[in-house]
Amino acid sequence: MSNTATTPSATAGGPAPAPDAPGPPRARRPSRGPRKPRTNPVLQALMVLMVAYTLLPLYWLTVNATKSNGELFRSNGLWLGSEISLWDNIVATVTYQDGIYLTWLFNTALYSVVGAVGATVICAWGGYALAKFDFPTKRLVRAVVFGAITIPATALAVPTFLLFAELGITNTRLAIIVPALVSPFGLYLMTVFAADSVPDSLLDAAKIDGANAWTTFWRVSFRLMAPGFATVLLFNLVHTWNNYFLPLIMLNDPSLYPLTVGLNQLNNQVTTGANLEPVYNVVLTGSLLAIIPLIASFLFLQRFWQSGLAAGSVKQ
Amino acid sequence: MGAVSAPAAPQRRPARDWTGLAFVAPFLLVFGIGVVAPLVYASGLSLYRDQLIGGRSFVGLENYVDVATDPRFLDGIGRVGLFLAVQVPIMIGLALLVALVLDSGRVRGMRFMRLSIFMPYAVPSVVAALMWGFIYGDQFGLVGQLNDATGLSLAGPLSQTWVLPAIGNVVTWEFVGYNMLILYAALRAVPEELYEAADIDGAGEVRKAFSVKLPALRPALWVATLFSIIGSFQLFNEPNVLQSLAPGSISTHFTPNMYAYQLAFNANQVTYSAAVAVVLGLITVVVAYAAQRMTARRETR
Amino acid sequence: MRLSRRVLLTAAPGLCLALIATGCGGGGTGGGSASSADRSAEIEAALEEGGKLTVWTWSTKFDDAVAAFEEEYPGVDVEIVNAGQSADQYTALQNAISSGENIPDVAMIEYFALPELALSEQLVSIDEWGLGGLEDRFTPSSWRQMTYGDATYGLPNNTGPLIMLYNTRVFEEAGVEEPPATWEEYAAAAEKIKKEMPDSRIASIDPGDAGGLDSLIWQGGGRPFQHEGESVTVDFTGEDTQKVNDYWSDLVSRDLVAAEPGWTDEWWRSLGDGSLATWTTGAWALGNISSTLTDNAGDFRVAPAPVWDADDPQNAENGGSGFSVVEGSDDTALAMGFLKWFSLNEASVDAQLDAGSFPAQSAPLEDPEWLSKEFEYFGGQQANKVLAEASGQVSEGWQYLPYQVYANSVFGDSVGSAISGGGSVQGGAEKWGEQLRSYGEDQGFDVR
Repeated sequence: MSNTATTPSATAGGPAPAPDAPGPPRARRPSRGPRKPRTNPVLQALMVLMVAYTLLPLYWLTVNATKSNGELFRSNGLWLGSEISLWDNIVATVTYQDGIYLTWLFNTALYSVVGAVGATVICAWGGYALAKFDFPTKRLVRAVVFGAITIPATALAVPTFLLFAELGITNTRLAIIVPALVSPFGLYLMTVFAADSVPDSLLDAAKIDGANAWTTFWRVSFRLMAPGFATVLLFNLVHTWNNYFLPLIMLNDPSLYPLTVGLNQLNNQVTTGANLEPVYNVVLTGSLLAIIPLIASFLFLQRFWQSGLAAGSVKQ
Repeated sequence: MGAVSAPAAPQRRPARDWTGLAFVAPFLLVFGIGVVAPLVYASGLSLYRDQLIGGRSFVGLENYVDVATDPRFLDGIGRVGLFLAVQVPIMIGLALLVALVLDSGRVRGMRFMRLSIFMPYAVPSVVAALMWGFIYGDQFGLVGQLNDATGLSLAGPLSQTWVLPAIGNVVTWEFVGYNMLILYAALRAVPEELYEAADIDGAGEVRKAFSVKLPALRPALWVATLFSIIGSFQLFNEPNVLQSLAPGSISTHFTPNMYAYQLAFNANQVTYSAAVAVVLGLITVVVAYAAQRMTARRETR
Repeated sequence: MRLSRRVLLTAAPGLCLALIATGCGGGGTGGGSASSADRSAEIEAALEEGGKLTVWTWSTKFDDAVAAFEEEYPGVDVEIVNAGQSADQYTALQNAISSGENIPDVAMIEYFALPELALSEQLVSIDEWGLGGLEDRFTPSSWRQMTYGDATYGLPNNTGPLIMLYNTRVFEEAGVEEPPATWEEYAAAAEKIKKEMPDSRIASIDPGDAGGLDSLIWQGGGRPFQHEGESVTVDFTGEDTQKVNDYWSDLVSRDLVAAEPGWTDEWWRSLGDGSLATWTTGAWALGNISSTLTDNAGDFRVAPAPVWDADDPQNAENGGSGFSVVEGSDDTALAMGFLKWFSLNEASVDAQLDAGSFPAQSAPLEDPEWLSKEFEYFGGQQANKVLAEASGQVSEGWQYLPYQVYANSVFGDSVGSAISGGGSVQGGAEKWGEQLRSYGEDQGFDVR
């Protein structure tokens, strides 16, 4: 019964051909029988409720980002106010304190892209090595690194801060990027991907051709691992984009903040009266703008998610 | 061995060389800087004590003795334990239900639904907590409006009684779609032959769900559960953000992570905070490992 | 900046991380006695020479004053940085000083935090720079709050004598004719409001605001915190302290006041729509309410905070802050020059007053023009007269703990939890006191 668990390549054809996974149902659906399953009203109602639940806060945020501060206090939270001030709010958000919001957005993008791309490349190399090479200390490396998957990142944050403070590198961009480069789970996923998608015969052939390991990796293996690379990249991107605890403790210069820390600081500012006028509209519009890039990336890249998740979890 | 074991070693046997190590070296480097060194440093630091008056002194394992009996730390551990025991099963159960329904193909608009339910995963937890914080308002938030409309007087979600479920809801909202997608992806990978065999046996949909789908889902369920357990122990962002709305309900030691933060950044007790972080890390690893052993044993039975 | 770091590190023994300067340096609170050396020439020279200054404040009330300074001294470039709110900023300051990176030259410091920062040697004493003689330009209470031990660590800037904002519409509807002058009348008004308007309460008490309860206790004559050198006293069992706590417990348990955190979206809405009738707070709040609840123009008035004894009105302060030069500043002379000009120059003070700051400087408080200013938002009331009177009645002898930042951070755990859970405020306060005593002992203080 645990067949599926141990031989994913045989079942799902490995993670590599995943790009077609989430789209229209794969071949097995129609083949399951000539009868197309009928819509079940109970299940349908259940799912509609579920969708309402997940979309409600997003709906709320969108609606309220269209309101001016005064309107926000006056109007019903679940419906539009008497006027739509979305554009004014966007202008207010990006010009607030000389455009600090755009700085935060830039920082978030920088941390995410550098951190996530870096982490994913490092994971690709490592996973490739663990799947396709035999070398001394490999067992040890594997045991230690995969064991580290269970160490919560936030439990590491305070120790990392303490170390970096000793080294005098807190409050620098490096202090956010370096910890973001470590992704044990990404390494694990890349190991799975590499094992499944790079045939040994190809590597042998390359070797016979006299290509060195480095060239072989980039010319042959990396291309085969590309779908897996995309999946791990997405994982790391979301993690660094949403990172809050580490930058919260590491940074004290607002011009280095990512969006998460900046938005929460703004919110605290509002809720303690430091500003004469509480800029709820900036907090709400800023929140909305902050989630749009990721949601857009989800819409476009959803198939990589599903394929990656399948590979990572089916395998144990 | 870690909680998640690596795939079987490849059959390929090249000459023993160090090429592989060179490829994995960058990872080991960042792993050393980002994981090993902080843990070693924090462990070292945790043997000292800081005082506003008197400075720093070596105290051996005293901090660990204190942690073991610290009511505030234990309060936080107890709370995340409860959270874990209630929220994780609810979230995974919900994710499983949705995944099974989607896989059954008996609803319309599947693509839209799958995407909608997954979408909250894209929302940073800070923003999620901010949004729910507004919605939770018992005067003007959704709950307040519900009370106004129905004449009920539902307690505020951020009151002392309800604040933990309220946080559980935020976390469920954020991650139910993510877990759903893990399970759904695993379901899609179930080989057709298994269904055919079940059809030949004359199994109905419900029986198929139990005899074919659930067993096939076990590894995916395990991964989802493992990450949810780790997530529970990490609980910080949501209560931290909601604290300004509910200072009387969310204490500074509400979760172990909040306590570590409080100690390091408000209480000048950096070294004690290091001890808390080390103990918290150990507890998480042990719980995750124990959970894995339990599953592994069940599987081999 | 570099230098200060080296100094810190050499002072730090062994593995010492020096997160707290004294934590490593070995404590020592004698902030150098007031050798009022006249270094005004040095300061003048620095101002003339110019340079770059970084000022940390999370308030936006100072932008114009800083601009005025830059106009006066074009050679000086002042950057205002928001490094976080209150406790967050103090943490950031500590981290900056310990790492030697990104240390500001001047920072806004709330009075409650000053003893802690002074004790941990994060601030430069102004006595060493000959600014100690400026004492009579500020209100006595504010000046006292900038001193720790024998030294003064900066100049006071703004204060928050306790006043009461009330919504006239609610008072009218509930039949409260005069704003309550004593706490007894206040309780009676609270009953009336609840009876006439079941959805409204006279006020809310904030379970997260240590400063709020502190000032109510201060006003009632309680003095739970005292410190001298390395010895501290934490005592919530004093008669006056208990009187205040029990009063609020009573109002909470009779559901006459709401237990709701302030400053949230919910709370502003409640204040705006009359669900909350009054707000007892610091004088600085006038600007906040008038620019937030713009729809309520004309509804609110300012009254003195209710007192315990109408024949002997005693007041307290809520909030308030000064500016200090930070240890490790690149250019201390220039920072001192800025501090003095920013705090006392007329153009600067005027700009701050216009931005809604309530002054710690004595001059404006006696300025007839300022006093007779009519506030359109408050129905044309000459509100500053009320505020100035409130400022004059602030009672003496209040002190904060040399670890008040920590103390405030755990307020919600004990007192806040009691308020939210409908328990006894006094019980919560005693629990708070217990925690503060044990913390003080852990930190090496002599706790009495």
